Amino acid sequence: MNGIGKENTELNRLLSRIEDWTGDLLLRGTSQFVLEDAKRLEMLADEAQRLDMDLLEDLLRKLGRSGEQSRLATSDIEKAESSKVAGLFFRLCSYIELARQSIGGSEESVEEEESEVESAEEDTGAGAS
Amino acid sequence: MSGSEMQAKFARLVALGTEDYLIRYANKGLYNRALKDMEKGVSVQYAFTENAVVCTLSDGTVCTLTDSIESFTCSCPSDKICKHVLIGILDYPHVAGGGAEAASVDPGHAKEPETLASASAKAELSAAPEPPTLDFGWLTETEMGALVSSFPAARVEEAAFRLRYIEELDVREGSLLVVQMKRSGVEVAFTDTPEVDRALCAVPGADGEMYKLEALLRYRASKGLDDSDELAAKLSRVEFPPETLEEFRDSIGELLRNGLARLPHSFADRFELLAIAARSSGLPNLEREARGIHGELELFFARHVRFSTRVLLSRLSRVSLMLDALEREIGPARRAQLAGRFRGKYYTVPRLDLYALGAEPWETRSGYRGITYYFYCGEDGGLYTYSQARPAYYEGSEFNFSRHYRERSPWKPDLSMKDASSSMLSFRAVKVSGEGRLSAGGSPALTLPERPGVESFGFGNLRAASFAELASEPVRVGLFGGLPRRFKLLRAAAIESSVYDRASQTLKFTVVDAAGDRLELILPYHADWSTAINRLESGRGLPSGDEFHIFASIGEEGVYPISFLQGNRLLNLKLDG
Repeated sequence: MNGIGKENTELNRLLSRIEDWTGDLLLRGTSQFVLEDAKRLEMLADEAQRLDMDLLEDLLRKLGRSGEQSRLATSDIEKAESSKVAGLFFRLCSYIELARQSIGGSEESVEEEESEVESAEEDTGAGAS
Repeated sequence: MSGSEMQAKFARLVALGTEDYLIRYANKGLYNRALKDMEKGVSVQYAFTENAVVCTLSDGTVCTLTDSIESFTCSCPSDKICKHVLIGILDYPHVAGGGAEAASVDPGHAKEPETLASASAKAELSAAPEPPTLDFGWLTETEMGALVSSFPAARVEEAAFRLRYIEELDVREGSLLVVQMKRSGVEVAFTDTPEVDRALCAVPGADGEMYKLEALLRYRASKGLDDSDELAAKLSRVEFPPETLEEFRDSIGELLRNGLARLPHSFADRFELLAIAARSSGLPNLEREARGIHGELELFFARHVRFSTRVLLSRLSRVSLMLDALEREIGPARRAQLAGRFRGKYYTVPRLDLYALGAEPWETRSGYRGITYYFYCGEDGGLYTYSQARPAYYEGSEFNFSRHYRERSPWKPDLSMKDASSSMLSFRAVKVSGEGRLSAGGSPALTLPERPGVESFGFGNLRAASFAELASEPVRVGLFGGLPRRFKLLRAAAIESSVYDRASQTLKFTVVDAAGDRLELILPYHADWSTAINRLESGRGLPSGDEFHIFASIGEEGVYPISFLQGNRLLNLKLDG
């Protein structure tokens, strides 16, 4: 019901591209972070910059850099580095989710139905008591 | 302590002993009987010892009083406060006023106390001393946590829950600080002794304790104190072993490092274990996420069509952010909020007036069916619900919408849910959850006052003045706990058209508001409410003429009407077929 303007279309496209990447990385695992990923993140960051989305840009660049470092890191500091990647990665995912919600371009979340069932289960329980 | 000290202390108790004070500690009947006895000529002789006052009544009864009304003994058989104790207090001003000067006390003879002559009563009534000034400062000056420490957390929680409802307070200070809660009609009287437990309340037992706490919380709030943070700390003390957070972090970290594609199937079970750890650590939100992740991973391994990367990522991210926040110092209230609560906790609300807004049948993809009834509470501006729901996925279990809609309500035998869905409900002592769900349990009293017309009832923010307002409302976003569904009461001038759209299998109404704006309403087809849809399509039973109201849920894709309201009539679109 929200009128989706040109800017939102571009933003939606950017969000989709980021989602493609996050989904892909979830499948492969961050241990398979390759140079290609870092490049892709840089490109996405440039795109975010063009749309004046500073926080998103910052997240993407940091994640790219962190991923690169974890790729090159020795096993010693590997763990610390990879938990940093994980932290940034999940923050990026949350950002996308919130952005989707605020421009209203997302599919209906599964969450809603689930909470209804959960409460339904409770209700049947409460009804018996 | 000497007898004269005792005399002074007893004089203080006598000064405190106003009619109100004595009636609260005893009751009106006892008080009147005491007065009657005194009128009939019963008088008292006082003898002061080191820490007691021996009162010998002229009828032969002997009671021993102290400086506190809570501690006494009496030769009569009663083990509670009796009229003799009251006479002992009430008669003293006459004695003290008349001949107190003559009553010298010799500490040396404490064991053999001398007696005071009882003076004739009536003349000295006016000589009753002014009550001493009492300090009730403890009610506001003491820390909340210390005040409620003797009460079980569940009771404090329930009392705190009641604060969301409006109450009118009337506070009177005298011998006691009396907090009258006008709506519930209960009075709680605090003493100057800093103990909530010693407050007086006519309601006995656990309910009385609740009122004492409620009065305390409301009194403090009325003095501008904000106890929410401290209460949260006391109520949902979120203390969990740091290992639990560590295990969560390790697991989601490992999952992300390995990638789904090469994840061993057994990895899913780790989240089942994490869910159990989170439950025993008192972290319900994390528990829910862990169960969700477990389920999602199972779907992934089963190559199920319902598996969604987006849902899994969303859950993992929430866990990650929650862990970050829980590891920081964010204050007890926010910490408790983040930890979440176990659902299905119900509290008794003394009084709840609800305007029924309609009922909606539903069916989830996972095979649950139910009807949800919606109610509006003018007092807190909140939406309340009651749901009938059953799993309908196994053989032999079914949920017949029409039958459940017509079955009797759990609160009143002669009231069907159908009628409840279009009434005004006035509950006493109904159980309600934090999310505004009404419980079928407990034994609330329900009356049905006359229902005001929808046009004249105050619906606060629920009512949208125009269709345009709907679009201008800011979109709410949230990461934790999912977004609540949005509901609105819309004012419409007329239904312009209704069309059944075969392609999308929905009935679409176009309605116009007073400003001439148009809005499309969507009613998806379902075999169970096909009759209702047919009826609506043909226009039968629809509001005509004047303006009417639409109660609807607002989704991303459009506006889904639940009921039409006009005057005090209501039509449940899917159920009143």
